[in-house]
Amino acid sequence: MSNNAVTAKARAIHGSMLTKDDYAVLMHKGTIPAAVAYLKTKPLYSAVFADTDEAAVHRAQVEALINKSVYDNYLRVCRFAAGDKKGIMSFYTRRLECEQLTKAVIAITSGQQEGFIAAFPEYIAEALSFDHMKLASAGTLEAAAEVLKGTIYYKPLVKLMTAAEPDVNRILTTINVCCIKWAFEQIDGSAKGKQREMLKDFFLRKADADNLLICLRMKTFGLDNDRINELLIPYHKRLRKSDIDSALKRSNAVEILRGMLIREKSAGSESSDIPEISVNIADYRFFRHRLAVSTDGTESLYALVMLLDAESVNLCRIIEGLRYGLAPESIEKYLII
Amino acid sequence: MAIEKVTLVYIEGSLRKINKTLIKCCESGCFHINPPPDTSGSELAAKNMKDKGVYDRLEKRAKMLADSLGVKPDENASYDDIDYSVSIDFKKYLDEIDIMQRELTEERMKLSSSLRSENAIYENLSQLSGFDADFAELLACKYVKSRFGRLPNTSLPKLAFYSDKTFFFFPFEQEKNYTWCLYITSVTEANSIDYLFNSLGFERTKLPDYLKGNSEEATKKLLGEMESINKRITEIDAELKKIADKEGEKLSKVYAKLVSIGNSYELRSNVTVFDGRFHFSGYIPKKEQKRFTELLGSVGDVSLTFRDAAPGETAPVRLKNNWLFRPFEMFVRMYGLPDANGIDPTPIVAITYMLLYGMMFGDVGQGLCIMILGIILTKCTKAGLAPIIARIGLSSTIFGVIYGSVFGNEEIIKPFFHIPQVYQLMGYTEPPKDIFAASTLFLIAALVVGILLIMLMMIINIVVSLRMKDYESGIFGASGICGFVFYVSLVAGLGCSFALNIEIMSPVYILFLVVLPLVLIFFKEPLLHLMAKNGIRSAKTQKNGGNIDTGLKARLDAMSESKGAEKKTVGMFIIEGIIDLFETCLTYITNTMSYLRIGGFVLSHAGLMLVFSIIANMFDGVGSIIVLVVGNVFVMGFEGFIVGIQVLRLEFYELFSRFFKGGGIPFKSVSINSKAL
Repeated sequence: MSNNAVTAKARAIHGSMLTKDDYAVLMHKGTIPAAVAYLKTKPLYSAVFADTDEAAVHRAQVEALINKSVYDNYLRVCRFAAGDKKGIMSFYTRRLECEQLTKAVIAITSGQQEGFIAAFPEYIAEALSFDHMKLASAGTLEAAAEVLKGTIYYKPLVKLMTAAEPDVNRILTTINVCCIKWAFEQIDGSAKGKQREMLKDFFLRKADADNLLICLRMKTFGLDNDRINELLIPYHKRLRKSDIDSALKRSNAVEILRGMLIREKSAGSESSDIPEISVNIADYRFFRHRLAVSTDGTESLYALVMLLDAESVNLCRIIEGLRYGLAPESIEKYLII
Repeated sequence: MAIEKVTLVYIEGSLRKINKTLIKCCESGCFHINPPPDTSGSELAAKNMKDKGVYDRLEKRAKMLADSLGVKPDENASYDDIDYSVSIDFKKYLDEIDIMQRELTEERMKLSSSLRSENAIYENLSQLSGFDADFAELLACKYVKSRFGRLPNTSLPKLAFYSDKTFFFFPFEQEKNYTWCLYITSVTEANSIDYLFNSLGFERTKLPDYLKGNSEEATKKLLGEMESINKRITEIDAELKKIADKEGEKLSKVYAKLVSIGNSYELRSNVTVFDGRFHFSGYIPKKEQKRFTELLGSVGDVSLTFRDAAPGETAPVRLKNNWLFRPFEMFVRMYGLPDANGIDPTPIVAITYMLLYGMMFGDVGQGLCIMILGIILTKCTKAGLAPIIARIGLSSTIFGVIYGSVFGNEEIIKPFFHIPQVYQLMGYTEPPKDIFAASTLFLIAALVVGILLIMLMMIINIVVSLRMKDYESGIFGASGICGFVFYVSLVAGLGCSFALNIEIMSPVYILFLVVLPLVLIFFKEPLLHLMAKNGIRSAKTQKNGGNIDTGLKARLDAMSESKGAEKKTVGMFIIEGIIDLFETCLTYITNTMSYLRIGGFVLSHAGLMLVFSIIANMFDGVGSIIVLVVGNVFVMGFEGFIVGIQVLRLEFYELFSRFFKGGGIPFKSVSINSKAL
């Protein structure tokens, strides 16, 4: 299969995604069952919701099915990938793996393993490089580190997880770093020139935004600058470390960081006042553009997954809004469109 | 060459009159509205009337309510009797409908859900038969809680993780994504186990209290209950239908009105409000000025200012042609509308298209068939090509008479080249046997037609360009005066030498009529600047302000700047000039040779018909007729289609490109359902 096939398939799936009108209809549905019934009529969701009884289904289950549809669609495109691209094209599986590892670490440290297993997306179990059941069964981080033996996470994490007083935030940052490092190795092995730069840029773009969000959150919680610096992902693109340092040192650092997040990611376009959503909207527009113009399969797939991800976030927010009886105008503020 | 003259009208008035004014503009049927000016950078406290979000939301809500009542709303419904005028009125009405139907709809949804659950229980009760217990007893247990329902298959492996929890799990029937099951737990653990199963996606089906006895007895009871639910659903449907019957029509009208208001807001987005007064502008046909003034005058407190479109202003274009030429406007629009100051090429396209098609596909029988087909299609469909087919069919018939061809048979009518005066004039002592014997004649005729058409297009270009003060194209262009003199002189010189044996191409002739035009084309840019310096400025130069200097270098600099290109050196100028000149000369040759296809298709048509005639002669009786019919249908479909495309190609590439300046915008009369305003 070819690069072009991946791009063509990705664009075809993008064409079936929900429109602004669909979101408007969903927001006006008033109840979760009505929204689910509507989603059943949409091509990207009809299969995943086919057996669902909209009157009985729980909100969490709806959200799980929406997330599953993202993964299913991702796999649909991956089938078209050429052999040498399979590595980098598994980036989404790797990302979900990192997310689950992060959740597992938090669950272990807070004794919430049951919740972790209950919410675990079983459809990725086979693709994981570790046994999630064993990981959840581990009572301590030290025991969890044993489960990770033989994976890319073991070496960077073993010292942190077996420390007398494990630093959970650093563990979580290290998991993120492992994911980016793995992605860069795959990109170096399968891409060249501008394509390599663009793919790396996708990951660095996320690292920049993550770093800004870490700074904003931690500064709001009152952490000192040195500690915040320890938690940052050591990858930078447009946002240099010196920029962050100088922002952190200012007395009104929170406002500056907030402003940086909104400006950095949404220059020249209408955006939200909520930093996270502003970042999401800017990314959404960026990846929509990339999917429209790119001729590279990996790039198209990455862009598609980001757009599907944004759509799943929107749907989850609508479902949540309906659950709490929010007015459509109130829900709309939280949508990435 | 008709482009309807339009005039610009500024409309200003009291904000209270905005609706009526827009209605009148729509009623006039001849008003093309302009987009509003960008006031973002100005100090004017102007704003555009764009906000239509409220009505959009109301429209969607009305649609949803109509859907839930089973009413199919018609957005074109008449709503004269709906007197709601502000959003709050609509909201109030929709709220009333909502209250009326919500309770019933929700009850119906719940009952449907119960019915589905009971249906599921009914379908799965057989799976419980192995569970040897009385349902009543099971449900009545004081210290044990039983839950019946279905669990996503993906959650089944997770149960192993909770092996230390106090519950018994009994799986029954397994579907593609779910497993029907029962879990039993103690009363004390019920909350935590219920929470656990909920988080695993367990969808509980509440076992009804009335289930008693074993599965057989329970099934009987269940069927009775399902029947009563079905009865209630039928009752609710009847009640909903009553509401739909009572309110459906009004709801549909309200929806139609909301749609219209939404559309009117689209129009209002072109209106600017400043200092309590609205302003907008647009174009109307000049001949409608009096009627438009009278129409708007009836509104009151609205002032109109008319002025003619200024040169360089982009006025909308409305083509105006007679019935014969009108269908060919489609081809012009396909290429691009002419500029408002240009000419409408439709008549030229219509005449040349019919002429060339007829020449290339001349056959009386086939032409008549095509014409009849075109007439039928025109009557039965709205296809824009249908009337063109009828016209080219007629042209084909006329040329068929000239060629003497009836369904490929050239013996019924005497062809024109069998007339003694004609073949003797062409140098034949006796009439050519068939069309192939006169092939040279056809090819030369095709070239002559091509040359004449090219000359005609050049003349049109010269007239149009000079009228628009585009001296570059009109004087120095490949289709301007210089190009025309060069082309005509060369064709005349070569024609006289080869055809008439008259040598007119003397050195003086060549120097002044062939070389000089080329030199002028080569130096067109410096010459244009020289003209501009002497006050003869082209429209483009006037637009750019025309900063003129006499020195060659300064002129080259000015040229570079005006083109927004990098600075041009003398060397670059010469190289580019030579390449341009070479390309221009090459274009004259290729364009002329391109017309040889006319002769080529005359011969290919005769050739194709000859082939079918030979095949038909191989058969007797009906077989021969079938071959001839199939052959003619094939030729009409296949060759007729190809000839159509080839003529269109000639139009677009050889004819249009010589004089046509597109860039016009279509004149669109505003229209909305004005009752909403």
